[in-house]
Formats: sequence, structure tokens, C-alpha cells
Amino acid sequence: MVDKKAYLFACVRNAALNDSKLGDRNTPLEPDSAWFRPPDRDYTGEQNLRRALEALPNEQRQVMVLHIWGELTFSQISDLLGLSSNTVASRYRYALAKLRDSMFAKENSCANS
Amino acid sequence: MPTLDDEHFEAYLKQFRPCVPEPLPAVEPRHRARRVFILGAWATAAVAILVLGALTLHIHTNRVRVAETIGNAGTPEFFQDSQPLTMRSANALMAKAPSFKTMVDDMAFRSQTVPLPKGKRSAVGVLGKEKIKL
Repeated sequence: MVDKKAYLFACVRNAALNDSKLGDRNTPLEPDSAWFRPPDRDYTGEQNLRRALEALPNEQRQVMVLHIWGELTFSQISDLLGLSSNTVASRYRYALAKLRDSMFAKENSCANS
Repeated sequence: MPTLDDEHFEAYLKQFRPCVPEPLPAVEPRHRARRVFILGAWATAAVAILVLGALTLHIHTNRVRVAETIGNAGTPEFFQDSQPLTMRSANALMAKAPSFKTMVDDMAFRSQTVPLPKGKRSAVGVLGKEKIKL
């Protein structure tokens, strides 16, 4: 039986991929436009998160976004991306570690300076 | 800020709610223009086919009508009235006559039967009476 949520994500992902293939329709994002509504007006945290996500490789960022903000399980993500659950879990672990290092290294360096 | 373990870091990340994305751009005018062009081409082709069909039907109907008229006009009775000889009646006669000789005979016979107005004489009759010296 097809998982409805995973199916919906697959639809949106395919639509986004098709859209990005049409290069002339790509519009660059505003460099300072927010991706998230931060908790407690933590705009610095939002900026750090955005930059850390931008720095991730595409495949790791996909898994991270689908798991954290899409609230998909690894099994659903593996169906969606056509990967094994182990690969998905591995990508997620790498992404989470990189994100944490990137965000807190930045915050700590800001705090020290 | 202390480094969080995985669980707490995940919870921290989930506090950031993604902004609602802007809607995808609508179909570009270039694509729309191409679609309109293709539709227009199909419509033009359809209209052209309809016009050609109508013209063909019209021409065919006219031919049938002319053939019927010629068929009706080509009867021997047609030449017994006092109508003047025309290309149409000559053509009809040629189409209906079994041979060229018969057609010429019919025409000659008809020319003799056509009554001439008062005071007029038939050129054929005059020439027939005149003695020509060769």
C-alpha cells in the first residue's frame, strides 16, 4: 500500500525537479530572505541554520529536511528517494553532525569575538 | 551555548518552522504562445479541410446539375421549339447525338423549321436559290 504522505512528498519533489530542469524559469533566492520562522525571535539562529543547511551536500540536505521538517520516517524517505534505509540513516547522521558543528561553531565564534 | 546531543538538537531544529513558500510561477508566456500557436495551426487546418470539402461538394453538385440539365435539354423535342441555337444547345445535341452526322442533320433540319419574322429571309435559303458561277 502506498504511503500517502510519502507519495505527496514524491509528487512535490518531482514537480520541483521538473521545474528546476527548466533553467530559464529558475529564480535565485534572495540571499537574506528567511527560510524559517525562528523561535523567540532568534534571527541569528535562523541565519546560522540557513547557512549551515546551504553548506550541506544536496543529498544530505534532502534527508535532513524530509526528516526534521517533513516529519517523514527513514523508511518513508527511503521509499521516496529509492535508497536503502541504512543509506538514509547514514546521510541523516552525517548531516546532523555537520549542521550542529556548523551552527554551534559559528555561534561560539561569534560569542568569543 | 553548550553542544546538544542528537535528540535535543533535533528538538531545537524543529522549533524553526519553515516559511510558507511562494507559489510556483505560472506557465511562461513563451510556452503559452507556443500552445496557442499549435492550437491555431490545428484550427486553421480544420477550417481549411472544411472549406475544401465544401468546395469539392459544391463543384460536384454543380457538375451533376449541369449534366442533368444537358440530359434534359438534349432531347429531340428541344430542337422543335423556336428557341435560337446556342452553344449550350449545340453542346447538348453533340453529347446526345449518336454521331456527328446526325447532329449536323438535326441542326440543319431545325434551321429550316425555325419560323422567320415577317420581312426577313433565311440566308441559307437565299444562298440556296442563288446561282453561283464558279
